[in-house]
Amino acid sequence: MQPRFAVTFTVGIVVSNLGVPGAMAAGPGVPGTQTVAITQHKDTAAIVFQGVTMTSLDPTQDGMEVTVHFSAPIQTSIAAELERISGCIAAASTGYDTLLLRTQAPAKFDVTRLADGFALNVTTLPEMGNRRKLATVEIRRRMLSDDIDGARDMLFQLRTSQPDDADLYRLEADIDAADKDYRAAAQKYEYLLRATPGDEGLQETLRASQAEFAPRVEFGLEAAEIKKADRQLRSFLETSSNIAGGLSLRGRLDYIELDDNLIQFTDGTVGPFSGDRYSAEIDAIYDLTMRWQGIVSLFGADDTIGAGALLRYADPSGSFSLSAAYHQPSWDYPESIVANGTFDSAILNISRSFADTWYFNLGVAARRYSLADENDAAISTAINAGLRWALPIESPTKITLGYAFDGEYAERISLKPDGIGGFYALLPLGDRVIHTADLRIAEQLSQTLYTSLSGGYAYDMNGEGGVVAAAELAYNPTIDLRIALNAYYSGIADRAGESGSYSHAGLTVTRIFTSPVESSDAK
Amino acid sequence: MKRWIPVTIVAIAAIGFGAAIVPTGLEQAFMSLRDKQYTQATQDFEARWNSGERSREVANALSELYVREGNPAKASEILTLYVGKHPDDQPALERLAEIFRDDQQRDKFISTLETLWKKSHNTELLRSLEKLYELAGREEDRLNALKTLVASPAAQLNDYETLGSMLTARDPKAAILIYLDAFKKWPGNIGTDTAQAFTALAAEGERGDLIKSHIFAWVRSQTGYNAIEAVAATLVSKHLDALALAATLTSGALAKSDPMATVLAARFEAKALQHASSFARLEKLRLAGNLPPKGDDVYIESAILTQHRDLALAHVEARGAESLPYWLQSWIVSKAHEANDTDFLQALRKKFSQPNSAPQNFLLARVELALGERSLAVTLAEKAEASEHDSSAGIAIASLFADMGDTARANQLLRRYAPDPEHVQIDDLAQATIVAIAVKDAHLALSMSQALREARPEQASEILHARALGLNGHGKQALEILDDIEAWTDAKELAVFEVLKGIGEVRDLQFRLLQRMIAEDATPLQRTNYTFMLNDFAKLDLAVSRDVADQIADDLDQPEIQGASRLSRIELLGKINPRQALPYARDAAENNPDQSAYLLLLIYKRLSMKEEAVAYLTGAIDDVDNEKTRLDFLHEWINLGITKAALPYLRALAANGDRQWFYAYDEALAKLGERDTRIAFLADYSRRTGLDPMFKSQLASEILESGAKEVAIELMREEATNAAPNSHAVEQLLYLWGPRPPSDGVEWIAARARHSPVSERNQWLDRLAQVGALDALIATASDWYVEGDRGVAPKLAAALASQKSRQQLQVLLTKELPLGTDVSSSTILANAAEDVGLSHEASILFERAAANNSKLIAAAGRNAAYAGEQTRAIALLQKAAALPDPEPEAVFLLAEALRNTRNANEAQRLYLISLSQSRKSAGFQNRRIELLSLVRLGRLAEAENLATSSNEPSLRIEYASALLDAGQVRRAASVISRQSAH
Repeated sequence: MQPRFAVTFTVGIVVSNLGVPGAMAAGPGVPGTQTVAITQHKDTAAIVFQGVTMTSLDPTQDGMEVTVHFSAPIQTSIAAELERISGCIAAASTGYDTLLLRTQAPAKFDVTRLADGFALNVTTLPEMGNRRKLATVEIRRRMLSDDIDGARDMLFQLRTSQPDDADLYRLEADIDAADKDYRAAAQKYEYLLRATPGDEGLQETLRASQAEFAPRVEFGLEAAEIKKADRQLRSFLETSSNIAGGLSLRGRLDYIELDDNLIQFTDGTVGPFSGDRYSAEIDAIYDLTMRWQGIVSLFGADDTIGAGALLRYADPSGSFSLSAAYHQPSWDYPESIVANGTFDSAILNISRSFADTWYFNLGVAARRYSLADENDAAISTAINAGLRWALPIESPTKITLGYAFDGEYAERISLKPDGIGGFYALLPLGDRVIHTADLRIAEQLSQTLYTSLSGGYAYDMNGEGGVVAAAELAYNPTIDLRIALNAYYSGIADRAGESGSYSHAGLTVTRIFTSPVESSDAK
Repeated sequence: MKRWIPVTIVAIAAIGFGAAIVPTGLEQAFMSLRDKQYTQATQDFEARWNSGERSREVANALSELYVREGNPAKASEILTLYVGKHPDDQPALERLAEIFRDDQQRDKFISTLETLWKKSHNTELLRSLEKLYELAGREEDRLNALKTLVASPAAQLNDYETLGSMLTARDPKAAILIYLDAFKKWPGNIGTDTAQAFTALAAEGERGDLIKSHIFAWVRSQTGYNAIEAVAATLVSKHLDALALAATLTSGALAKSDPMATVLAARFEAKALQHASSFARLEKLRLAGNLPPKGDDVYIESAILTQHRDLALAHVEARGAESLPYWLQSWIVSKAHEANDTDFLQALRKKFSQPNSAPQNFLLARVELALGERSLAVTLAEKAEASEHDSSAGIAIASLFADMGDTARANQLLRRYAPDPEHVQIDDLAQATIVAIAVKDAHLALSMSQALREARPEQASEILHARALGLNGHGKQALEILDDIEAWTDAKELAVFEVLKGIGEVRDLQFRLLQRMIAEDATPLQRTNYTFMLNDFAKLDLAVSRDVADQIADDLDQPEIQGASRLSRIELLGKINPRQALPYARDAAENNPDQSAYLLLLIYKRLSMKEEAVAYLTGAIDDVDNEKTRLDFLHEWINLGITKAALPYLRALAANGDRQWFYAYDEALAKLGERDTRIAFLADYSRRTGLDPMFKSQLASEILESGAKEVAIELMREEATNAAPNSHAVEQLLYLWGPRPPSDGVEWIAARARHSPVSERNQWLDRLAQVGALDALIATASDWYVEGDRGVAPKLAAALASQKSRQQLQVLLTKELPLGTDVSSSTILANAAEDVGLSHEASILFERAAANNSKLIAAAGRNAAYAGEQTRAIALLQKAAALPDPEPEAVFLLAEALRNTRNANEAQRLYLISLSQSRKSAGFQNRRIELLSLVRLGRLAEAENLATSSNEPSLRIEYASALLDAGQVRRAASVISRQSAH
């Protein structure tokens, strides 16, 4: 019997090799009409699969991968084709009936069913990395714009989602520093340095923060003169040191030499004076945290002793302080210097900057002067206010225009009989009001050198006016040494009753005793 | 004075005498000739000829002198001029003809003779001319000359013969008349050739009467064998075998009992199937001891066919194999085989059971081959070949190998013994041609057949030539030759069908076969063969006439048509008219289902009687005893459309392990929608031991096709249970799972990894990484990790980096760094460290890796800079910046570091370099450095332009950051604002 019909009997299974995708792709059940095409836009892409049926879509949480499950075997060439034609697909690979797509950037995936297939829509999400970067830049901007709270708010959100991120922690430390919370900043910097002990930049930043509350000695010297009045040479030596936690002690010794050809002594006589005086002050400074500071002071001078207290709030964009003093040595007037006068005071100061463009300050003070045995030699109130506007120019040089109001009003002046039928004032205090307008140019010349120059005009309530000019130079060769020079000239005196010009020049040298930051050899 | 008179007379006389005796110029010329002063003679005769003397003497002498000089051209020129003046000078013409002849100027020679013939009408001259015409190929002139000769009283028999021969092709009727005249004029002198030519003409002219009247008389008068042989051969070539036999029987040679003539007569009788007469004639001759070897074939054939097998055998034995030419041996065996005379063949085998010579080996090889013992035949043929070096024997043995199917060997022998026709004896040409055709040596076959055709211009040669042409791709030409042969012989049939198959003329072949089916001269045996051939076609391309079907039905109605002949006819009839064939097929299937059931099924199928077919199969399958028939039933059942009833049979067969039945059962299950059964069957089957992996893969593939992926995965899991990570089995399993396996898949890989030998660990880690199972990778690698493990540490580090597991990576690197990692590991670890911002570690590792790749020093410096290690960063970045074409970022970072250390001038210089370097290439990183450099250089307008024109948000963010660094807070705010709005 001839098995003729056996010719058609070639059922068999088509040889395929599961391990060789190419062979499987050509094997049974793999339709030959599977195609893929892509339509791409800026942030979206539609990958159109024809000839296949999707059963499920399995994207990863990070949006970087999606696994597409099909109802039938998928051709391996699809993966290669996708890699070739798609800009948003970084890699593609296939299994028997699955396709894995890795995207270039995090993406959202959804599917549109089509007649003979489906479209996988890939929408690229804004890159988390960029969002984070933008946020940190914004935080820095806010920080530099003295919007510390705004910076902290933003940072808080980031830190919540990424609590272990060292960079964000560093940024928080920077904000602390900008917020003048140097202790908190230093603490954070120290912590960071433990992880990266070789980070020299961080070491320096830490030292800079530490310098702000490190023990220091400051010496100052200032010469001042009011034409037709007096000349003063002042100096001081101040030292401060942290003694425990948020408590620092500060000691200060002031010295002044006064030369005045015509001065009224407490007994009413008038004559020249040339001599010196000392005063000292000890402050206990409490860091009350949350930008609050409290200071308790003890003053001492010849035969006098006084005390004071101050409560201050300061943030980078503004400050507020309220202080009160009793028998605080007063060197505001030559008569007071000569007679070792003191004053009791209550002072309120507020300052604020707006968008790093407008600067406003206001001070209100009430003082009661004591002189010799007279505790009520004079009472004055003072108001000073200022408004300053920074020119909106993008330049390292900062130019500002300012107006200042400085007014003092004698509320009561104690008069003494002069023995010849008249009276004399123990303290020649009078009303004074000075309006000043100036233009100030400031620039950080280098990392170590800062200077500012200003010039303007001032006039007082009597209609007298004169040019004002000032110069300032600060030089910080190292973190622990600061040298500052300043000079000032005003065509009118800032003291009531004086008509000569006023000028002064000063020098300050600060030596900070920072402890060296421990660094380890990374190698 | 008087004295002067005699003196004057004497002087005049003397002058006169002198003048008389001084030779003339001609005389001087001949004198010179006589004196053999040929040069002088030539000059003399030329002088005379040139002076215009055209006398016969001068012309003759000068032409001869020229001939003597070897200048026949001049000689003929002289004589031509002469005969022009003296056209009647026949000797001069003859001499001129001679000169032309000797100078081989045939045309001038003929022309001269023609001139002579016109003058003399000499028949001899005309015969000369006839010969010259023949030489010159001037057929018409020759024909005219012969016709003139035949018409002349001096005509000779030869003239008639020549003319007859010439007219044969041009004008056969005229030729016949010429020959008839010749027979009439010279009845006793007619030569064999003329008789043969006349026979051929008469045969072609269908003038049997002339043959009988003249040729029969002529052969009767001829007692030589050659005469009857020639005539008989001519008649046979014209397919007039009967006339040939008659002529032979009337021949004078037979009357004189010439043995060869007797053999010839017996051969014709045998051909006319008068075997008894043939045998009797030859037996008589044999008994008298006069049977020539050339009659052996006829004798043995007729003896076999007349049941005188013993005599045939005795004759063969008596002759001895050595005396029988190889072709005859082959012929004897083939005749016995054709007659299906196995007894004779067995007897031959017995007779020559101990062959001791090449011919005996050959004969026995033939016998064994005929008896189906091919291997024995091969052995014997090889023995014969080893001891035979004769060309004839070689060709015969080649033929034997060809018949045995060993065409390569046959070809080898043919090439050795018959490399070309020149090396083959004429008697062997046919055999050599047949072998060449058999081994498909087209070129040799053609050359052999051409030689054969020339040597033996007969039908058999023509047929072989046609076959050779067919083999050479000249099928149409071959068919033309074959179609010219009127009689339909077996050889022609073979050739025709062979050629038609060769040229792919299927329709023509079918047409001819169908024609032969109803041909009157077709025997039942032939029709059987035709049906086999027709059945070999998948389908008949022609509309078959009813006559053919009726003829087949007629045959089938003959009770002697049985066996394969019957089945073949039923099959063919089934193709032509299935309904007509159905009763025959039913009958055959009922009587012998093993042999005939398929036909019935085939016809059912043709008649679309599918249900009847299946019913028949269902009912009959249990009744058949033959296992093969049962299998065939199942095959057919499958083809008809399997039903559930067949499943148990198929399952049993598949269970035996037969792959074919496995497939059959599998497909049956698939077709019948028995999905679950099928999957279970395939799964069970794949669990068999000893299956090759590829087949297992196929099974898995088939299961997958059925949609049972989980089953396939389970199988592959079993397969991969102990397989190596890079094995085929694991590869397949992972492929099924896909790039991101399900959790149990990951667990499986992790488990395999955990329990793997040390040598496979890295590969398993790679597998875990490949499937994105980083947690498992980290857990496993952490377990394996020992400090300084060069294999595990990099993979663990890379995984930790991918997972952003900074702390874990830092711990790992803290352990690895002091150990001095190698360069390769350092690069991987460094990249991992950099990925998670472990800049310090990355810097150190990149510095180590830079030992092999100096460019990595920039990465080391960059990471040192990011780590804030300014001093180190400067040192490294200075190296990086010193490299040719330094990386812009390295230069920039160096500038940054120097700026931080208050080396502003150098920093500015480097910012310029980083700017120019960054502008050399495209890419985000270069744009970033360009931007940052511009900001640092205070070129904010350019920076702004660069940042705003970029599509990269991160570049604008970098720009804002750089502006902040530069104190450009307001500008930065603007950039940030814009970017936030995006």
